[in-house]
Amino acid sequence: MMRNSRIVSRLIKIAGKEKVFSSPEDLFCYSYDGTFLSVVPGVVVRPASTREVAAILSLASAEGVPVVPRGAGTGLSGGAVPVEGSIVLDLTAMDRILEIDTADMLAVVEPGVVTARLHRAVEEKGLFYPPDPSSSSVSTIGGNIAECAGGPRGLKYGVTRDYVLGLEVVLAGGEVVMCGGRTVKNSSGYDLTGLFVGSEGTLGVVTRAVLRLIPKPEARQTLRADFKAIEQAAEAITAVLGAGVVPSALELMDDVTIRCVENYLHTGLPLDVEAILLVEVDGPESTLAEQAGLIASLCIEHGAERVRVAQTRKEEAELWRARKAVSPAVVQVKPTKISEDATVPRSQVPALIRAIKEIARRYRLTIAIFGHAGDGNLHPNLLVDKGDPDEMARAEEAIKEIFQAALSLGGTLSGEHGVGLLKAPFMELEFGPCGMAAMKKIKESFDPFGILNPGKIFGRI
Amino acid sequence: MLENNEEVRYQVNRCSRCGSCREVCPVFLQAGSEPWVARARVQLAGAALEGQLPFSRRFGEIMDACLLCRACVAHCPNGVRVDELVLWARAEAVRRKGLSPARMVLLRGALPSRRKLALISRMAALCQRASILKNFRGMKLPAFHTLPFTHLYRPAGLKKPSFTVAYFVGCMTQYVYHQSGRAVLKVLEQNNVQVLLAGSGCCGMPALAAGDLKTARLLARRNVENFKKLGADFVVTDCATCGEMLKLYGRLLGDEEAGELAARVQDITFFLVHTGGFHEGKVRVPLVVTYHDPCHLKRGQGVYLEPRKILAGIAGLTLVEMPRSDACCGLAGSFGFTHRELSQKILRAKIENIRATGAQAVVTGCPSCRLQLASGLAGEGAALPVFHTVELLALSYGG
Repeated sequence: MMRNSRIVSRLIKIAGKEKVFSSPEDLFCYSYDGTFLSVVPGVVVRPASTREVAAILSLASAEGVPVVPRGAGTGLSGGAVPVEGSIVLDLTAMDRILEIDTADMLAVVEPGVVTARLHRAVEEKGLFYPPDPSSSSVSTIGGNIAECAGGPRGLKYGVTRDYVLGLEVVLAGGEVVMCGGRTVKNSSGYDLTGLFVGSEGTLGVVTRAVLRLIPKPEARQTLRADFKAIEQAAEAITAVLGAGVVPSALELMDDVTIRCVENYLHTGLPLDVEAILLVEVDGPESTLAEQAGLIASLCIEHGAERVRVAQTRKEEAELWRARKAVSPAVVQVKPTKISEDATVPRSQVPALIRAIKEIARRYRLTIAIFGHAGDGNLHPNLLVDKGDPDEMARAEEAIKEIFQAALSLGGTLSGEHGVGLLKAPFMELEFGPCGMAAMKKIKESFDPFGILNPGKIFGRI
Repeated sequence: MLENNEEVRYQVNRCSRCGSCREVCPVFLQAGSEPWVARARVQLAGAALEGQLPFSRRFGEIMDACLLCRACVAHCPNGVRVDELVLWARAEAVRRKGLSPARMVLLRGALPSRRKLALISRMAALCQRASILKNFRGMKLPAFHTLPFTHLYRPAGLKKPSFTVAYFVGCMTQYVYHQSGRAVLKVLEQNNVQVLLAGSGCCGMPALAAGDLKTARLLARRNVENFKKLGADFVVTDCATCGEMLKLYGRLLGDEEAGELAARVQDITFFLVHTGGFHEGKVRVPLVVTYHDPCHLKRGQGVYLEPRKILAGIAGLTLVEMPRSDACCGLAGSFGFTHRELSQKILRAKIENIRATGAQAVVTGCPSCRLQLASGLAGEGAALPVFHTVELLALSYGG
């Protein structure tokens, strides 16, 4: 509960009674995100405008109360998990698509817009907003920007960062700044826009975003290739990209994942292979058959057991069904899954997979590995039981080692989930003391009193 | 039905808190904030189970604002039984704090008594004749009957029937939608099925949904005894909600006899398509219709192809599917009255989808949905009629 009921009443004055929640039950509902972490905030407010956000931040600054911005609460690093006694800023009420400009090919949106809703809205106009995190049917643009979300299309189209042209941000003291703008090119001054993307609400609160759109690809085609050895799959990927074809998705499932999915779906997935690759190409209809054919032959050349090219929409859906069933399939094994997103340079994917398998063996854990092999962004999913403290302890150690392995292969802690609370303890491994000090200086200059999402990225103080 | 704390804990732990339910929960889609989504209800149930939160009034409010439509369950990657967790939370709240006085009167006083229910219906009918009670809390009410269905209609005796079924006449058919009951009798008789009227009272769903397990079990036990006396091959019903409830009797009562009975319960459309068989009618029914999938029929009993199959066999009839035909209509029993505004918002989305099809009539398999849809369709635009699937089949049989 908010110790200071004066703050609650001030918030009510700013946003209205029906937008402020302070009962223990309501607060509990804002205590979590998509991770297993949970901290109950002091009060929740759902602002409806930039003006209200600014007023809330200026109040919070004056009172020294931490503020935790939040979208749909689907993040996987704990970025939206509250701090004790904090004000949670639920931005989902700010959900207007303000503009879709087909001439300048951009969209102007509020942070609470659900990603999939934006997808549909722009695609109706023949445009395309590529970032597609797997939570896109519920995640918000604000959350995507805060965590720099990615998705399967990252390999060809990049991630959220690559589509943010401009932002309106409310700073810690309630000042409203505009950065970037409506142009594709912009080399004017510091790239504040770039700085705010992926800053996890620690530098300011995004209240409006100008997003870059591109023409919608005309068509797409999917194929699946099964490999006896992970290395063969990796070589095939290198060969495909080397031949000048950039697939719009290049997803990998390892043997553990394949087994889970087959036990769940019974669709006849091969159980004697180490990897399945799902490859999708998109573009002008007339070019797809040739691209798919080339990919198929390169896969076979590099040792694929078999390759299936989807000829109809139905076959395509059937191929993707296995990948989409991964989440429900793996939890049949154990109730809790911890999804990591260690990312390495593409060429190191087989090495990372080998390392993770070795870690799984040593800690007696089941780890299903799948993910976006084309851009080196893997999702090792540790399948555990939250109710088993011994297993949870082993999982914690294993995660540490996975991070170390990724970093030693020239990778990063996080490809698309962000650091949040879960990866904060490992940040120094990636950036060293000087790198962390530099980030801290940036944080302090934007947020001198440390009220903006404290503890995230830098760890609990 | 979650039997013990371990089962509750298991369901809560299966929730990975991914938030996928935000895409489909009808209440959340209207209300917009986290406490009104399935994920929150699961987490709250867990917190209450572990003693982190009390079974407070606010807790009850949040749990009560669930339609039990199971859109979340069908969508959940982990298949968490949110509906069962909500039912558990409601029952646990009642166990600890008792029923509210209003629910005490309705659930323990009126619901178990066929005589009182008949009296209420009769009084409602008389009021309506005097132009009172045409509306209740803003909802246009259908016409009540002065006499229950089972008093007015008797099934014919057949010489060599292929099956004998007990027809469970739910309250809504009993007191409101006699036309649906008449269609059931006609269709079954024309397909050489001997009907026995079960003459039962309420199925118990209103009590179960309100967390009143005591009344739910009392009614279930009484219905089981009734069916036993009749000794039919199957129990059929034209009410999606009653059908689902009857199928739960085994688990609710926890005995074999009830379980065996539950296994012989079939929705009327399922019975016609899979068990008894049916012949197509000779009379054309020149209508363009759209079909609304009741939650208790599609997700509750897995019955959604059967009504479509029946409709497809009716000459002259065209079925135009609406988008999200299985989205809840928003009534959910008493929810439509206790959460008026939310219920109406959910209904409006449904009505828009119905109107967009250009259909001349709506078909569904649940009298509760029918009540809600008819009320919504009476609002603006042309008032489209709402039928039960078997009514259209009966129409095609002529006579």
